[in-house]
Amino acid sequence: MLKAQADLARELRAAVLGNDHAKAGHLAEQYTAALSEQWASMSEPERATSGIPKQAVELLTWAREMTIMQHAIVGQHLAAVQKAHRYLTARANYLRTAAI
Amino acid sequence: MSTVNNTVSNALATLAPQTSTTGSSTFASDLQGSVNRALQIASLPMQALQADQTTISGKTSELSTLGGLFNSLQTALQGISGSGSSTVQAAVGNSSIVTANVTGSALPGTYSVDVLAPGSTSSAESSATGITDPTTQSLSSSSSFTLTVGTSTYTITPSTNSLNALAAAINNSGAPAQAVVINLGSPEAPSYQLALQSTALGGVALQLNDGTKNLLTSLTTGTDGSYTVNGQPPGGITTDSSTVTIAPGLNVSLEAVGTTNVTVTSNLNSVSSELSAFVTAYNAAFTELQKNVGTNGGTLVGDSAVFSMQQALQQMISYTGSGGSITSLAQLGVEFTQQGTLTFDSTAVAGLSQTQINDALTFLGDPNNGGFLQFANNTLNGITDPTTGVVATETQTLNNQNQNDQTQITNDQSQLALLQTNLQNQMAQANALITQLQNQNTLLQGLFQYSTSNNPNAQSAG
Repeated sequence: MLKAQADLARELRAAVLGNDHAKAGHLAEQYTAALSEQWASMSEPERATSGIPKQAVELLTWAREMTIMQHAIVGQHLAAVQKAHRYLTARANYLRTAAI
Repeated sequence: MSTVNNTVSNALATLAPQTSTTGSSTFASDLQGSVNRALQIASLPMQALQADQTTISGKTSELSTLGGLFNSLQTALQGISGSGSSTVQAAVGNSSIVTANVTGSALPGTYSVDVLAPGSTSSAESSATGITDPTTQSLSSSSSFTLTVGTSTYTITPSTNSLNALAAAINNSGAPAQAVVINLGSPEAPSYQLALQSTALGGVALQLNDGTKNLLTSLTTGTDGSYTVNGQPPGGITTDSSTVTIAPGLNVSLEAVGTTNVTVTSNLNSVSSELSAFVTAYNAAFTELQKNVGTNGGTLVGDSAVFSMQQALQQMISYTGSGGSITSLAQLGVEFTQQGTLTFDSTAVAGLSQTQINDALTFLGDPNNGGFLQFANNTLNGITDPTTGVVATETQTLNNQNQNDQTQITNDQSQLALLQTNLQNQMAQANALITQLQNQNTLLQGLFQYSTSNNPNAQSAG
């Protein structure tokens, strides 16, 4: 794998870990495009012995699983925030009716 | 793919109850902080919230109760001053000579009144003939008359042409004379006449004219009254009124010739009952205050308003007069019990001498003019004043607390709404990324599979 692709892979991991999904999406696109270009330029013998397919699929699978987990965690947070919001609304209503 | 699902499920099962984020970016840290705060708010039990509000409502209610009791105390206090008008009384030695009427401003003492002449009023009468029915007949057919009383004249216009209406019109004219209709005939042969009597003593001219002739004949010419007070002036004071003021707040009516004493004395009978009411009101306020003191006290325990009210009560009762034989409430029978309430012994007041009564009245004073009553009234104003009083300001503070709570909650709501939006955006982006990564993975796998069917690395990637 070329250094450029390796850098893209590292940035993609960082973006995913940083919960920056928009950036991760762009990097994944660039990574896939670069990889496709590189793959096209390789001869059959090179492709036959290349570790690129394994690394690429592992990276994208990892990124997807990590994003799914983050999605679930954010969902938990959102539920908690929504619950808090409901409490606050109830409290505000109570204060209004109990106003001195 | 099932392996992936299991991995994610396991991860979520572990993470879900903890609600902590992974990663170390600034964004993750901020998110964690926000969520922690949100969770903290969300974890507040509704019962605790209601308890907060119950506390505020309870405090306000108790303040209102105390305010009412202190208002009652102030009213009772002002009742003591209001009883001032009945703290003096007048006794007459011989009531056939004079009768007396006294007001609160009269000074205690003995006045000798010598009535030289009680005086008399002037009177006049009509001499008409043939009036047998005063409801239909009159002295004249005229509809308007001129009444003369002394040097003043009055226009009299009866509502109907009858003797009764004429007498009524005279009495309603404001003239200082009294008109009546009298029957000078027998029951079988009545003869109704108009009789007029001056209100003032002395020789007062009385006449009624119908425009053409005078209708009245003078019966008696009155004389002025004359009297001395404590022998002064030796020649007597001439008066055209039978009621005279012989001292501030002391009026006497001249009844007959003679000399008699009028004695004005003070009494604290009404003050006694008002002091009793004051003590009752004090005890009610004190007892309610005590409910808010101590470890098992009520809603206002520790509130500075309670301390201020206690201080006001203590200062009020501890008032000391500056002179005279009566300088404290205790001398009037108002004393503390061991519990801090007050008792009132009415015998203490009943046993005061005249000098002590006068000193007691000086000690009590007036809400607007010195003495205990002014001091106590000012002290209570510090509690009950609707703008600057302790009750009003404390109630305002509680209102402000409630307002601040509401403002804080509104701000929290805004922040949570923003957080919700951010989290929802984040979930949407994550969703999009998951789909995108899935597609790209599929794309790459297809690309690799096409040309590396014999590549062990490529195969393992599928």
